[in-house]
Amino acid sequence: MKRLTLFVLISLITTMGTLAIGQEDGGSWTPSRNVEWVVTSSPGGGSSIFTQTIVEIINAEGLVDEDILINYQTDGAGSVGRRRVSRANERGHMLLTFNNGDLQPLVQVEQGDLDMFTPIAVMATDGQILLVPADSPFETAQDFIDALESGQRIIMGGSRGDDINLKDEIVEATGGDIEYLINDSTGDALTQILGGNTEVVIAKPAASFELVSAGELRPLIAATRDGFNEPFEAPTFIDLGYDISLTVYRGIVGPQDMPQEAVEFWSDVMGQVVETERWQEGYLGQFLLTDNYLPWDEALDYMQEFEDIYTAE
Amino acid sequence: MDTFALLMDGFATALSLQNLAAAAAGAFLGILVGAMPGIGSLAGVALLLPLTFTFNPTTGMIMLSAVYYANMYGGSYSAILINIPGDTPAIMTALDGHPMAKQGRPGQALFTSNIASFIGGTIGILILTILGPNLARFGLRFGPVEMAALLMVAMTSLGWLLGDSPVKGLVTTLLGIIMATIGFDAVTGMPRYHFGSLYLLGGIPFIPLVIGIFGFSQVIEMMELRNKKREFDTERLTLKDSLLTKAEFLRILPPAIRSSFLGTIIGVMPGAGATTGAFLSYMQERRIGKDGHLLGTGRIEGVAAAEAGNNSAAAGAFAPLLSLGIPGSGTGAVLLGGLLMYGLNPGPLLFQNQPDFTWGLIASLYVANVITLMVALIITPWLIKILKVPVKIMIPVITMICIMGAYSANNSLYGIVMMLIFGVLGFLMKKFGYPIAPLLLAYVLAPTLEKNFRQALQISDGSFLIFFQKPIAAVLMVFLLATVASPIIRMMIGKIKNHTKGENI
Repeated sequence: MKRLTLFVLISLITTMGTLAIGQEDGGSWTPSRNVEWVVTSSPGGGSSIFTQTIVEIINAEGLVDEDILINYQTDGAGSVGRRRVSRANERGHMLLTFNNGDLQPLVQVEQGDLDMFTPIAVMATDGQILLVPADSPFETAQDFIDALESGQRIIMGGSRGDDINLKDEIVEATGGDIEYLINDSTGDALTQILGGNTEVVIAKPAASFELVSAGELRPLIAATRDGFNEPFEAPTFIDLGYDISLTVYRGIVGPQDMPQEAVEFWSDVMGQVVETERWQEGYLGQFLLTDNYLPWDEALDYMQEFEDIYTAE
Repeated sequence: MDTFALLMDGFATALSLQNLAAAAAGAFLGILVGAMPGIGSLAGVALLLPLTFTFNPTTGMIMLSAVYYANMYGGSYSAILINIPGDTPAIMTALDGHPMAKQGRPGQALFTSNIASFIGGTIGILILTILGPNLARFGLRFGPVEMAALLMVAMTSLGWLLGDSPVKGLVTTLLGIIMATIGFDAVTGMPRYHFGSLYLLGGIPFIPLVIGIFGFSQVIEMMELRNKKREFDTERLTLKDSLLTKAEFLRILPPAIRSSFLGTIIGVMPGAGATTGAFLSYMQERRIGKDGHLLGTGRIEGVAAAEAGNNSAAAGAFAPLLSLGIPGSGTGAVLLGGLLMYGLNPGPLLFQNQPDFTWGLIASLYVANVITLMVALIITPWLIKILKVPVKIMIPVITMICIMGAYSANNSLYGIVMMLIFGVLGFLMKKFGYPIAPLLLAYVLAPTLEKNFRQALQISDGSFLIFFQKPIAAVLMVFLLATVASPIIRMMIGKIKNHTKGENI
């Protein structure tokens, strides 16, 4: 037994030793093994499309030599994955997709803050939109507003974080009676409304693009300042007389103790990703997002502003 | 072009030499990855995805599907041979598969597992081919209310049907549910039941739990029995003896076919996966199968039902992915990523816009399934030799596998500690006759049940009547009540009978 314990210890130490090699040489850092990219919402939602697109571009352009594996960790509403990345000692080999939809529960529910992570980049600004099934009784945006104002009970689905935020703002502004079903991602919320289990869903264009293009769902009200282009053309809350518009940023962070060289490496890779045509046309253009690339230092300040808002609430 | 012609075109694409070779390579790698505890099909497909980028789309997808299937096959091998399920669906396979191996029939168990997996996969794909998009529409009807009802039926069956004593079964089921609630609330993200521990805050990690409770507990058991007679009968471990007789083959057909239909339907439902498919198929067999009450003692029917159920569910999971663009699982998401990478947009229009690719993919699923079966059958004779390894070598080897698997799950020593704790728990449970499977299944199913149950009550504004107001849910609830009431009624009838007998005398 003693010998076995020794053997186990030696193999563990050797493994860890191997993992630790190739980081302390300073200067220009590059990944030396597979990179794990954690997404804390389920596949099929906006975050998974965002992450998948970036990884795809990195591969196509050959920006990183090692493979990047996307790991969906939705346990505990995403909090388990966030904690795991925050404390990970993976040097530069772990990334986390981090939008304000993730920052908000981190600050307001989990008693965490941005210091748990190292911001790498802000990539884009996304917007939310309310969708209804093609045969919904809410034929116009006004029908929906009238129902809210008359206190009719409405079952609404959506993802977490910023979607819950939007729901709260709608309730506050209209006094409506909304029963909100929280899902692990917009993809799950879309499945729910397609099955007729909810009446309205909060979504973003990327995850719902195919369903709206095919006419399964139709746009009802946009929650952005200027609304969306086709096929998501719909009045905004502002058009309808309510001052509701939310900004959703899409960003990337790393573990708390990520080395500075690794932060700069990834920030720079992301800078190259946003310059590609595939990103500009295929992602931002098609899914109606706004270009908003900020390298690590600016991303830090930008995310901090959001944290301050959430702490104040 | 009609469906059939499109499918034939698909076959013409799929059956090139290059594609067959890719499928064979995928099957081989998939079995290896699947058999290693701790690396599930998701990680398997994710690890191998980059490999396929160099191929053209059809070849790449054929290889990926082969990996996906082969994972399911591989998961059951370690379950049968060393009682450590390589993936969650294989928990059900271990129930009958490992007792069979202990009785000196590992070959038959592996063979049954291969054949049943093949039948499950084939029927699943056939249903997918014929019903495709309609099937996905049907799956959508399983909203929170229906899923909660289905999972309640599953949960009640756990305690009653697995193991000898319902009370002990209920105790382990509840223990599983309690363990699943530790960490963060799945709906709101609020921390709960972690007793201030930073480790427990992340919940109880699943892979170390499975490896510990199934695998390491066994090592302790082996150490205890070390000086006693070798329990495996290794005399008859030749290939010839491990083939099924014609009678046995006919015995596994009905359960395999029944389970395939059930598994496919389960696979299509959002949020339910191969584990639920395998579990409900096994339960169905236990209820309606001939000699169903003997399941769990090392019956080929049990292995057949579980394996057919999980492989058909894996095929069914492709329906929502292809026709709605919504992946049913993490593995599905990786496959979806693969599709997107090839410039395809899965969604309601995929079958219309890209018929050649879609049907090529479905044809390639067939091809992948056949190739995987062939690779699996070829390596079976080598696998059963594992059981010839003496216990004194098996103990350190399995211990190493357990430690590595538990560590690699999260790259943390915490996993190893949890694995050891659950090893001891598993050992004690076995010693005192508490079944382990209900605990694990309850642990897997409880979070989904909790989420759907709470959402169902949200929809109904707190009224429990909603479970009887929706038709699918109502049928399930009647079934549930019958399950719970039947032993009580049977007991009462027995009492009345005894009573009248007494009066007659």
